[in-house]
Amino acid sequence: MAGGANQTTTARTDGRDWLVEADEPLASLQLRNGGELPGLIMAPALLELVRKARQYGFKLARPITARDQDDNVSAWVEVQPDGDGCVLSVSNWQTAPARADDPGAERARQVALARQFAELYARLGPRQEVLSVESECTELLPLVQKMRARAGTPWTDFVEFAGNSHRQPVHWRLLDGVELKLDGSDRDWTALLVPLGAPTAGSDGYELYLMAKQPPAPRTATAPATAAGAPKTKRTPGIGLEIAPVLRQPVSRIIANAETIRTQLAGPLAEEYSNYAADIASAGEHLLALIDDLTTLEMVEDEKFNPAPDQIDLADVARRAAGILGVRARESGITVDAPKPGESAPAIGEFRRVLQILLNLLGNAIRYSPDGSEIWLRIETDGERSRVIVADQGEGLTDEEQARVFSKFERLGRSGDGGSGLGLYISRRLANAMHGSLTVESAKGQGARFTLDLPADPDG
Amino acid sequence: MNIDSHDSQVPTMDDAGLQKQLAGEDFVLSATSPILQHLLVNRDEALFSDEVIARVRGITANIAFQLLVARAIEAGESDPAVAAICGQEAVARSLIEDEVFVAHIHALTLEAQLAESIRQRSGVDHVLSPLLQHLTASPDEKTAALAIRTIAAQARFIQQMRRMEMPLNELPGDLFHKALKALQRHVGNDDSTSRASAKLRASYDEANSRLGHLSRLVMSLGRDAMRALSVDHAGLALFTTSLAMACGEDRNLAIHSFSNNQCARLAVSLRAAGLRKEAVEEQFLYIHPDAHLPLGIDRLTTDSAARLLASMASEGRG
Repeated sequence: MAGGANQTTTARTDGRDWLVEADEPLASLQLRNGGELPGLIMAPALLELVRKARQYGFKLARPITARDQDDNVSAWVEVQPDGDGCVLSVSNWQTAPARADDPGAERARQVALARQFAELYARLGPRQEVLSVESECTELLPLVQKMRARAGTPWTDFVEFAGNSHRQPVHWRLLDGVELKLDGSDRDWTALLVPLGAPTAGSDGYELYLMAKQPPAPRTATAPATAAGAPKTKRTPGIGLEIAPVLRQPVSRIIANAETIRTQLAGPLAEEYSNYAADIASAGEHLLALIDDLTTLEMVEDEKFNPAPDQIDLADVARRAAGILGVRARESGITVDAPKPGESAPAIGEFRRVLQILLNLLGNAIRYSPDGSEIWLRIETDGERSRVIVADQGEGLTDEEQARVFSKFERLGRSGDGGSGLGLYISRRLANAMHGSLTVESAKGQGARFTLDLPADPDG
Repeated sequence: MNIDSHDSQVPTMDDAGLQKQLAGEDFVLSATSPILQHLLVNRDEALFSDEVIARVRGITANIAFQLLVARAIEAGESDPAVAAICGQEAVARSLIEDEVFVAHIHALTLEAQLAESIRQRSGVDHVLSPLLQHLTASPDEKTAALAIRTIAAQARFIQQMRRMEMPLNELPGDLFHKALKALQRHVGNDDSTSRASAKLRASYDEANSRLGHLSRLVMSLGRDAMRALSVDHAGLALFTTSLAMACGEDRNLAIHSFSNNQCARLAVSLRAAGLRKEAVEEQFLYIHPDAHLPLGIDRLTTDSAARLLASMASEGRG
């Protein structure tokens, strides 16, 4: 974790206790805890402190502790109400490995999570027979109806276990945490059983919770993201639909005219004027790229955004990306090693979106790699998931940079190179919307490996 | 209570007043025997001695007085102090009725008392400890400045406790909020009260209180925080804060663990904070010179001590 003991981090919250601005390391903590920026404060102790200061209307200052993956973070936080929200000043940031939890407490947390997030809940009798079943998930409706119609049957008859099949009677401990498939759902599920009754656990029956490993249908999956993006969208109403087309045309004309002047097509010109024209053209190109990014940003943050599930070959997409950016790479003397003809990794995803992600990854790799280095595009598939990996020999990213490289408008301290800080944020959003993921592995000085992981195409 | 023909009617003002008074008297009656039993069973006279009770009452009255003076100034009273004296009793009463509030004042009273007796017994100064002195010479300017502010705050605290005073700014945020609410309840939310509240809020800064300084100083010690877990080296105030932070418990509870009938709690807390058995024995010497370590403490690991404390805390709440 960056930040010496005496460095002060500032942040700002609004009237809803959303973190709207935050410096490191608070910003990374928020993101690693599953929050958004802007978004509701994720660390419970911090949220409580901010809420109190805002409601009381005066400054509070206290030590707080929060969980950061396997570490406990502690910090001194001062919260000063300001307007609707508060200004935070965080210092003495310290991390220490979390004390091993009491297994009982861990189980209690698991059960609490299951009660909150399970998409199917059933009450079972002592023989694990279904007594009642509830679910608000539409894809499970037929299953719920079937279970209700055949109440009294063991719940294990209605599900399909990954690996071995379990036939009743099976001790509940063997079924607790088991992975399974459900009728009518493509997703992977896990079961959690809470035995009821004493002294023999289960003598009064069980509570059964089924949780999916993947989020529900994309519509709901992107909903929290949209909520977080809401204030942003409000500030830039309809840039994609309304403003972008109006802007694109004049900006394109500026670029074209500047190019004409630069290349002295309209007549000879002093060199400095030709250079000015080159500056105008590149600034215009930057503006165009920014408009494109903002349009895409608006689209990926729209809850109705739903990429088409095309059957694609990641090797093919990778070769195309390498072809498109080949000239730029050669200009810097960089070799791009694309998958060989004959290699293939069938996957499900929208073709042009996957290409967009790969162009972004490859473009970044070219931009930040030393001249004369090599960039590898590799593919992998294991039948379940297909992956494409973009590896470079650039200067790499520290752990802390990796944590925030996917954040919105994150530039990692770079400026003036035409980037908007939106590329990786958009790419990750796109990957998630296609039920995939975009991750990075890197170490400072060792280059970076970006991995796009998508569901494999079973028919490919 | 409505046994006559008015049965179906809403109780009149008199009825409601009587009802309230009866409820208050019921509470006193029901509390009588536990208090008596407690005083008879526990010989720890320090916890509820006449002096402690009188001090808690005095400090609460002082807080009420400050609130009323702030309001009287806003109301343009010619002699704010005289105006404040009138309502002082009622506001203080309202504060005393708040369990958390009165527990905090009680705990600080005990802290000041213990600090004084440790000074007499073991010669540990209640303001300037070796650790604080060392920190004022810290190469890190911020830490040095913080240590100096802490010493000043601690000196003020000792002086104020002797005078039975507690500046509003020294209250923890939640209690400061309650104090403002108590003022509003008593005088109503008129213009001068709102203006007084707004002024008090604006000048309040939890970071600048003694407790704020102490917590912050313990945090800035970072991995060296163990150095503060020693009464003679750090002084009682810093020791208490670091013990509470290390065990993740309320500082007031840590103060209560110093009383004579809480030896087990103190021993378990010190273990949970990471002290070895010998170090626990040494700290016991300062706080309970005559007591013996509870049996079994040497077999308790740091983790199991922490779990034991946590389970007691959750049972207590549940």
